[in-house]
Amino acid sequence: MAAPAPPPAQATTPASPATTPMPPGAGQVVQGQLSAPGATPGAMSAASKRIAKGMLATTPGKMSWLRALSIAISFVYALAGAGTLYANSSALTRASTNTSQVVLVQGIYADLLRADADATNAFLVSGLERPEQRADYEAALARVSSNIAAAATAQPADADALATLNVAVQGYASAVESARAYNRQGMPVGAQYLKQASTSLRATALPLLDNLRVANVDRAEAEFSGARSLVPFLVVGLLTLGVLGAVAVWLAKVTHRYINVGLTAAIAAVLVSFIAGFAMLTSTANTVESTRTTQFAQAVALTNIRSAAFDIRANESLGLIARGQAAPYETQVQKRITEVTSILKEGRVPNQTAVTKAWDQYLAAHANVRRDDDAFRWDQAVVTATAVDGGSYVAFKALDEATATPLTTAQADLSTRILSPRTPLFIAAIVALLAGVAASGLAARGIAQRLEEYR
Amino acid sequence: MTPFSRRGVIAAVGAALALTISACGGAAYAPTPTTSAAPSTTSAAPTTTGAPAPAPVACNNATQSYAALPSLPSAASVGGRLTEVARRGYLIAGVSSDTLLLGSRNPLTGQLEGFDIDVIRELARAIFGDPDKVQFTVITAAQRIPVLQNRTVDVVARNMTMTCGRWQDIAFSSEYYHSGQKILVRKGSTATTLPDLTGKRVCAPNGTSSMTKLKEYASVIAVGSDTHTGCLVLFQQGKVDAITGDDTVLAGLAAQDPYAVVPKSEPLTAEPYGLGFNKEDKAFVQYANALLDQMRADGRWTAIYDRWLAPSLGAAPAPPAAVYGR
Repeated sequence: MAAPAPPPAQATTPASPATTPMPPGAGQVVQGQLSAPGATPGAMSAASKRIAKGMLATTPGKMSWLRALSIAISFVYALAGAGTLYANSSALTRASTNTSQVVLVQGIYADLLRADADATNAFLVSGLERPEQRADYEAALARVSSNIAAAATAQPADADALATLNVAVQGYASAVESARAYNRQGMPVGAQYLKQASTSLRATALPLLDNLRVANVDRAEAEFSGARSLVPFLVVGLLTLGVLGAVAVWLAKVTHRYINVGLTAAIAAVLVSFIAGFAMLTSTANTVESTRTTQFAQAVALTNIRSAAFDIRANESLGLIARGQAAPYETQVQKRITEVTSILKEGRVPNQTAVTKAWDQYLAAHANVRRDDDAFRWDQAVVTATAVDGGSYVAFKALDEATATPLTTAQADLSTRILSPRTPLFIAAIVALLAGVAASGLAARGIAQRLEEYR
Repeated sequence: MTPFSRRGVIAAVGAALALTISACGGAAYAPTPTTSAAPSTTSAAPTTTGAPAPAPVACNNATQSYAALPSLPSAASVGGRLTEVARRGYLIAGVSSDTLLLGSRNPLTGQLEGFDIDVIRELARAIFGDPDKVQFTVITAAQRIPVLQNRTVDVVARNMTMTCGRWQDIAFSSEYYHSGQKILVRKGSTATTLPDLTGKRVCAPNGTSSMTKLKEYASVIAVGSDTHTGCLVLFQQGKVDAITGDDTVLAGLAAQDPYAVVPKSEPLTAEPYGLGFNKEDKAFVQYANALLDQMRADGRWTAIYDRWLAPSLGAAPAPPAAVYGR
């Protein structure tokens, strides 16, 4: 940034301390103005203070001091005003990164439970597992691996947690493979490996993902509030306008002329850019708030519903595998049902009617499985849980489909909307910068004209 | 411009810059914790602690049952519960689905199979002339007595040890299998019984009589698991050196792992297995005893033993003799 050229006129030679006594009252007024908050420049040495005192004793001295003050405050506006606008804009970028990370982490959570739902359900039919189910399991785990890598790149602060998660996922996958191998040979120990895999998944991997989600939601919320904040810009703008205005009033009084063209133009430039910037910030705050409560909330709610559905499906299968001992798994199912019921009750899920319908049908199908198993009709329960042409699979798939599209939409809209105010904010920052620089030049020239009159 | 005002401008610009830099400061986040103080996701891990070990009641006739009927009459003519079963058209039996060789689900066929299952099929054959007229109800060890008392099932065949304490609540058939607590070790181990495993880690399911017995050997490190199959996983992962339990159960574990053997030894305990019935179904018990007598005599018992247990436990011993007079 080019500093404005110093005014050519070296009009104000330092006056000697004793010359031109002023009426005491006038001097006090000026002193009072000068001690306005924020206007006092940095620490002054005792000598400078003496010189300053001497300067302030004469009208041209005061005028030249106020000229310097006007230049300084305009620069403050140029830098701090543009800076705060730019800070809001970069908070948006970081908020977007953090919300993307939340979505990514939630996706890993859902995919792990999806894999577990596939693995446990396939176990019920042993070597006769459907190839599509196996493919779905493998695809889910592949997505988990690549998303862990992507998440570690996107947020270095998450790297340690993701590395630990990666170890847990590998342990899970290898236990599932042991279970599958034993199961295909008809050995009951396979069921124990599967149980161990599912238990460790829920005891290690999922709590880590909860940590990741909480940490990134907190980060996103902090950036959201940074992107919404109006106060710094408001303070800088009003302070600048106040100081320039006070200088203009003083100048008008001393010179008996209402308008100083340069100073007035400086005030106008700052005022226009201030109003534009403030309007931009207010609209950004609205966009951020509505995105947070709409697209972000929707994406989180939909992923939670999907995770709950996958977890219920896995626990349904585990309950059937632990023949006659399904109670602990059913407890987990009921917990998930409570979670989703409260999400649906809030009524903010996109495609709410279809999702609620699919959810209710899925729960009804699950209840059928449980009723048969509890009535010792285990074979029938397994048929209901594994058949591809009816039962809980069809209901599960319908729920999967009813939530998948709105989730993709919400995720895409989320990123677009959060980033949408970035360009206008950037332009507003440039305008504030230029306005501040222009104001310093205009104010300097305007006051210099009056100083000329004292020579 | 005066030196003073230049200084003022510089100071103001410096302050503005500082303000701007601090406002635009990059985001340095604290690392996400890798451990959670309180995991918010609960695990669905069931912690089945198994049936509490039956309290020993001092008596000397735990294997003594009701006298067998002289021959096998038509089931409908016996009266009581058995007549109801005959009318219903199928038997309801409480069994295990995870005890290989005794009662387990064959994952390939989906069917339950094993020594206990075949005994029940013989009972169905005697009643209906058809071994398939059975509805198997999978129960846990802890459910064995309650399902008989509330009549959810007609009979329980689930490696249930006859004890004086249990006779207070239910009735037993005559002893149909004589089991005993032994150990399972790695192939090549010289240990044959628990005292040989001093300083080693030995697994048994929590809350079972096997665990109670294991804890009597203070020099052996007892390791608990939820089931015997859970012990096998620990064994395969090298986390324990041996497993202890009824020889039948251990045979089922050894059948799943070529590197696990049950060494020949005197059993640490005697575990006489009986079929469980409701306490009031005395006639049903007498009918079953007549069937068991026939099976002992005509070689069916030995055939079932050979089918399930001989590959792991060796040639069939003489079937346990029935003791009557209760």
